[in-house]
Amino acid sequence: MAVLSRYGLEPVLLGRVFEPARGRFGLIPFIWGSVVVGLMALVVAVLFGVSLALAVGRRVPERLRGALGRGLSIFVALPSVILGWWGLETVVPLVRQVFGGPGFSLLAAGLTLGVMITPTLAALSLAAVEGVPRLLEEASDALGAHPDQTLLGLTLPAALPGIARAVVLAASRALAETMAVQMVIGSQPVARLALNLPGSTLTTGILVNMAVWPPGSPAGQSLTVMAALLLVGAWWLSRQLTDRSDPA
Amino acid sequence: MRQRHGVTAVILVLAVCGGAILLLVAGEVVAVGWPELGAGFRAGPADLRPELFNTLYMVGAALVLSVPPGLLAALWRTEERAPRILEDVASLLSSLPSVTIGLGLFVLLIATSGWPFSRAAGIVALTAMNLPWMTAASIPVLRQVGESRRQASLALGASVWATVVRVVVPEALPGLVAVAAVGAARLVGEAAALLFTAGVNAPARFSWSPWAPGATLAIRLFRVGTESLHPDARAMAGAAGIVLLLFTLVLLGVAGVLQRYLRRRAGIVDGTEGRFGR
Repeated sequence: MAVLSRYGLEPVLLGRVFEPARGRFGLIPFIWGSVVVGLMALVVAVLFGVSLALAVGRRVPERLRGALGRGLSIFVALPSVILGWWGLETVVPLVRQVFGGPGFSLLAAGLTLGVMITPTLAALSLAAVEGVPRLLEEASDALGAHPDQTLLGLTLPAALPGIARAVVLAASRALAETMAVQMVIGSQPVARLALNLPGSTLTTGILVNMAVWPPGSPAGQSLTVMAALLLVGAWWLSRQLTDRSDPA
Repeated sequence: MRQRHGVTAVILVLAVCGGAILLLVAGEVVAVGWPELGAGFRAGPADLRPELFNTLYMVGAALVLSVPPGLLAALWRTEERAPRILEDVASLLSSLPSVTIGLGLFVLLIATSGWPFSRAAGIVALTAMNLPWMTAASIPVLRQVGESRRQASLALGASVWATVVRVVVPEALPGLVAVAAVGAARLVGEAAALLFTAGVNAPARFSWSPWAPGATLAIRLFRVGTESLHPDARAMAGAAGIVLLLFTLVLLGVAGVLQRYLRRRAGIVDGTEGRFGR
C-alpha cells in the first residue's frame, strides 16, 4: 500500500499508463479491461443463459427437462482452463478473421468468458423459471393470452428476481476469472477503445506481473492495490445479492 | 388462423445455439486431444501421469484439510448462533478471485518464507480456496434442516452436539455431499492460484514428497496450450483437457450417485416418521 502514499492515490487509481520500470503505476488499463470484458461476457451470457432457462423450463417436453438441467449443471463445473483453451483454438481465430487485429483481444476475452458463465447463469435462472407457479400461467392462458404473451408478460417478470441473482453471481464469476481470460486477451496493459485489440484485466494483470516484480517493491505493491480493488468489486457484487433477497 | 410464435422461436434458436456452443467446447477438446491421449499414459514428453497424480494428491490433501473445519465453522454459525460476520466473510472470500489467493501465498510462502514451488504450497492455496466455499455453501444446506427436528431432539434431552451428529448432519448429508463435490471440482480445475505456488513442473521421478513440484492437469493444459513449442503441443493440451474433463465428470457423477443413495435412505426415514413401534 506504500505505493499509494508515495505516488499518490490519483496517479495510481486514475493513471492511464502502467510502466513499472519507469515508475508509472496507473491501473486504469486493468480496471477498463475488467469492466469491458465483464460487460461483454454478461451480454453474451444473458442472451444465451436466459433463453436456455426459458426454453428448458417452459418450452421443452417434460421428460427432457431433468436431463437438460443436469447437463447444464455439469457445464457449470467445467474447468476454466478448458474454456480458455477453446477460446484460443476457436474464438481468437474467429475474431481475427471477422474483426481484424491479432485476434487476441478484449472482444475474444468477452466472448470466451460469456460462454464460460452461460451455464452458471442458465442453471440458476432455470431454477427461478421453474419456481414460477404453474397456476398463474394457466390463469393467463385461460384469459386468452397467447403463449408468447404468457412467457414474456408473466413467466419472465415473475422469475426476474431469481434471474437478477443469477446475473450477479455470473458477474462475480466473470470478475474473478483469470485463466480463461489470460489465454485469449493478449495481455497488454493498455486502455483502448478498440475491442479487437489486446488488453488486460485486473486478474490477468496480477497473474502476469506477480513473478516479475519483487514483492515489496512499488510495482509489487501496485498488485496488492489491484487485489484490493477486486476485493471491493466482489464485496459490491455480493451486496447486490443480499439487497435483493430478504434482509434477514 | 395459425398463431405466430415469434418469441418462442427466438428463444428456442438462442437456446439451441447456446447449448450447441457448450457442446462444441467439449467436442473440440475430445477431437483434438484424442490422438495424443494414449501417449499421455506412456513415458515421454506427452506423459500426463505426474500431473494426474499431483492433482489427486493436492486436491485430496486440500479436501482433508478444508472440509471438516469448513463444516464445523458452518455448524458453529447455524447451531451455536456464531456472529453473522463469520457468514459474510466466508461468502465474500469464496467469491474472491483465486489469483489474489495465489498472489498472497506467493508473497508469503515463496518470496518471504523461502518455500519451493511445491505440492505443499499448492495444498495451502487450495485449502485457502475451499475453506470459505465449504463454510459459505454449507450454511444454507444446514438451515434447510427443519427447526422442529432440532427442537424435538433437544426436548428429548439430547445435547447440542448429539443433535448435530445424530439429527442435523445426517439429514443435511445429501446437500453437504453436493457442496463438497462442487468444491472439489473447483479445485481440480484451478490454475490461477497454483501457477506461482505449486509451480509449473511435475516431478520427473515418482515421489510422495510434499516438497516435489506440484503442476496439476489444469496447469499443464494452460502451459502446453499457450507456451509449448512441441510439434504435437495442440494435441497434448487437448489430451490434458480430456483427462481433466473426465476427472470432473467422474467426480460429479460419483457425488450424484452418492447423493441419490443418501436421499433414498433419508426418504425411508421420512416415510416412517411419526409411526409408532418402529
